[in-house]
Amino acid sequence: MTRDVTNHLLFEVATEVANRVGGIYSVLKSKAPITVAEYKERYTLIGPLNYDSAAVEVEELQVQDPHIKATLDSMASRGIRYIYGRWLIEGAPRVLLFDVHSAQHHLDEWKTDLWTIAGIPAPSADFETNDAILLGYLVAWFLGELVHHDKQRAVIAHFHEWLAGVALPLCRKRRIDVTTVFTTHATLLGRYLCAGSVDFYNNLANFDVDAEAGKRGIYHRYCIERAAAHSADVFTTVSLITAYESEHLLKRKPDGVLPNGLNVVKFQAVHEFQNLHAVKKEKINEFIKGHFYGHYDFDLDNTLYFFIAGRYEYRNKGVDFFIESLARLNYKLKEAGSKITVVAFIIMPAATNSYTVETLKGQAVIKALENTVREVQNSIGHRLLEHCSRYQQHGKEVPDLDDLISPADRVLLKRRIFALKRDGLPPIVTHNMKDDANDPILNQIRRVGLFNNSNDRVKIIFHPEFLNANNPILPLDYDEFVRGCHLGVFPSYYEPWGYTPAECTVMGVPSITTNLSGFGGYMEDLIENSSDYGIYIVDRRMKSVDESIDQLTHQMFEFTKKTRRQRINQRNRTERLSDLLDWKRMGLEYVKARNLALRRAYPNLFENGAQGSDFDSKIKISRPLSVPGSPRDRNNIMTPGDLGSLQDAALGDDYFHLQGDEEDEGRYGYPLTLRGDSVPAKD
Amino acid sequence: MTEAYITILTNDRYLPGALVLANAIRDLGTTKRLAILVSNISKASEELVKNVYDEVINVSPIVSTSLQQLSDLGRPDLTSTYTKILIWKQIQFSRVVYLDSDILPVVPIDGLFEIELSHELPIAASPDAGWPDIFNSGVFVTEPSEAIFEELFATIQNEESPSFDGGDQGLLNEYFLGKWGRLPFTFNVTPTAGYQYVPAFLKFFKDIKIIHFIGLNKPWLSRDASLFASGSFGKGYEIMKSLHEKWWKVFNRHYFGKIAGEIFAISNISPIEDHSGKGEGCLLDIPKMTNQWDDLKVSDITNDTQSISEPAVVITPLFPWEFRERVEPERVFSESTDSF
Repeated sequence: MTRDVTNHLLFEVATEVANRVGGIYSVLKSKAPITVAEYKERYTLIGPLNYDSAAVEVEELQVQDPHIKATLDSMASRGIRYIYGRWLIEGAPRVLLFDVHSAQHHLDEWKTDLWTIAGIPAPSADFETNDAILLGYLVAWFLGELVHHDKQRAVIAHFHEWLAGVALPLCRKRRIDVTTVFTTHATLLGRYLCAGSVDFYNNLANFDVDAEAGKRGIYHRYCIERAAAHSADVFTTVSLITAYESEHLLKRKPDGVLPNGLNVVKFQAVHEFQNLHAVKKEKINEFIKGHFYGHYDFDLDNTLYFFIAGRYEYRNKGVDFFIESLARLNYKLKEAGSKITVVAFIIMPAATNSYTVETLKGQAVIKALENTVREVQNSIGHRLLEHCSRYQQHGKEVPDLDDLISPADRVLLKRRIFALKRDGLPPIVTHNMKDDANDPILNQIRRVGLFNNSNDRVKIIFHPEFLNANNPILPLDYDEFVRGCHLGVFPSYYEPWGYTPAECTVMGVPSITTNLSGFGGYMEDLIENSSDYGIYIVDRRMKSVDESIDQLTHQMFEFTKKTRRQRINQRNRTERLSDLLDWKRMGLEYVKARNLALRRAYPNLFENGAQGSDFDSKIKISRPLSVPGSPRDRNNIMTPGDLGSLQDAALGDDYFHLQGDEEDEGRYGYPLTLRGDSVPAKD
Repeated sequence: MTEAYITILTNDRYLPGALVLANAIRDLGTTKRLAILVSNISKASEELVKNVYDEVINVSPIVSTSLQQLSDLGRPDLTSTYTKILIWKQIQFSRVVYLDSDILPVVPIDGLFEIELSHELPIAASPDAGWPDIFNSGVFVTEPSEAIFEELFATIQNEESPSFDGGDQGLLNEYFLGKWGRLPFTFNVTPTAGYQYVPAFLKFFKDIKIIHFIGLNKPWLSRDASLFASGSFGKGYEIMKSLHEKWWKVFNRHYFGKIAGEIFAISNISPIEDHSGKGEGCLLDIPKMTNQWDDLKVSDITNDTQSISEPAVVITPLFPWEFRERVEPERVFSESTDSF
């Protein structure tokens, strides 16, 4: 009897299940609601157990499914520890976390086996790889045991990244009756090669992959990644450019691209997002007043906030581009006599020794001034009321200012104002850097000479720590900060997907990205005039470095020329793209990839549409995305999109027709999926 | 009688150097002829050389037998450096400026042909950075003469150890002891030598006329300037990077793209190509891709690898379930996923 593919089980394996390390966590977490909606209790995430994070993120449950229970009991009887429970995030998916160290005594045996069956070496000193091997064997053990107990249902195992990929060659070589999908979110070698300054993209086809991996001491890891890619039934990546990279570096052409989505519900503040921008911007304004105390000589109404954020990868994230183009922007703004001031934030965590005294002092003196002003304000109010209500005694109705501000108030105010004097310029970096002299970001800033001088129209603030609402200086969470900014700038060199610009988009904040990033390439393919929608794309492929930087400068310069109203319109348009990035849409590709894995494993079931009919329904996506919406008359004084959006608004029609009315609910049209909401399964 | 720049190429590994040398001299607007002595090089190499040198002269190499000294020098690769004495045999030229093939002139140097030579001072050269009382034999001005050649050749033939370092520099310095005119160091700056006097370098940087990349670390071995400069520190690092860039600038100006690849194939070295000056992804040709799941062909579904053959690798039972009764998987495995 063949397994039932319609009600198959889905296991998603990754090291970041209920344990945030990097981007995979965001992928799993934001995707959970739609996957749970599709699978209910048939969906389980598997990962290594980190007691600290699991204690906060996971609520333990009894195993309900008899087969899974039998499997886990049998493993537990052999000393394997695990936690089974509910991950406390939206969608509340089941998670199964294995304590890989409870299998530590198997390590040597398993390493030998890995070498015998797959020829993958495993040096003893690499603990990360050791854990990956333990996890891989535990997962293979679990899956093999499970399909022995459960002979009814088909099983799909979806693996993310090489760290979770050891089980893939095992499933294949040991002929475990599951079907597999492997998604790589970047390649190991790609990351290493890009960080060193080789001309990566132009040489993709020429690298001697084994030698390069060997040189960098990651040969064994590379072997795991490559074995995982080759032994999966379906191999996928997150973007076209990474697919191309994988083809050359991992030597298997991916079967398809699974772009990362976002859980837009979380961000969607339907008409509120413009208000939120104003509110959050006010918080940034407060910080700026303190930071620039004594040099606060620019008008905050004419100030734009740009930012770059992410892991500290100087070249991969394009920080070099950002700083260089800021210097050029500064020159252009000065030359044009612009009234606009740009404050550029660099939010990238580096090694620091807490805040600088100067940073703390800035906030303190401004707080003190504010308090004093409030006191004086109160006493003036009292005196004014007093004076006016007894005006007959003074003979004049409205008092002079001198009558209102007492000498004591004057002294106090002057003291507060004198405290604002400072000798140096407002600092670039908010923290004491561990290695100030060799920090590449600071050195680049020194090289271009952007030191927050009064006459500079571009100011830089480097905040070498992730943002947090409990932060004493800039008390904002990352998403609040993004909302308060005007433009995100991400001129990355190596960025397989690019969550940062995508997050900007769903929050209605315009962003700049490059056509070397997965997101940039994706949007470029999808939208014709993306810049009208607040997605600026720098050409880092065909243009020389210098030209690319000029283009980036130009894009920022044009942005500074927009009026407030134009910016508001642009934000509206940007926000409208968020539906394109919603998991409700992106998740479809996952569904189809899993379907392909089933087809490949059980081809006879799909012949003659026997069981396959369910899967064959046409995918209906809304109107073609190339419908022209905005007039493209570039001679018009208005920017092209403004007219378009005004018309759109007038017609009550929206550009992509994505707003989605109730009848259109089934528009995503995949009957098997998504009809449910994200209510977690009953236990 | 003609005057010429002359160099030697005795193996393909120096081909990029020889090509850049000729192009650099031409780019600086020389009026002199360019000659090269070649031996033991491949046909392909010779073709490329012919394109840039006016005269390509095939010679048979004169091999050093002083292997002991060469290994003291740490350069056993220099066995055929005595070939250099064949310069004096090229009497078709009235005067020659000899340049090693790992040299890069940065300003016009035709003025070297005006240097005064005499019977007492038949050769002019710059002092060696390692031992300034002798000259570095990478750059010198001289007049070919059968007599000098014969004497040099006889020395090699007859003496037990004709050269104190086993190479041509030792030989020539012993022969021309006290008879060489001193050229300024700026005509033969050897920055790749282990020791560098950085402040002097900075002060006189603008006066440098000829850079000589001595040692094993040649600029053409890598496109990566930081790799080339990795032996230096501080300011020296920056200097080395800028010199590396100078060399590549000439190379890229004349050999871009496919031809560059051919040159490196001939010389059997593989520097990673750097096209980023043209665009960091200018050679990226990402084909439009249809996701396999949107393109389900019948062939993909009816897999003909249904015959389940036993896996080639013997699997030792490991997991508990592998010790129980064997259950054949119901799924089909594609052969293509079995090798990596």
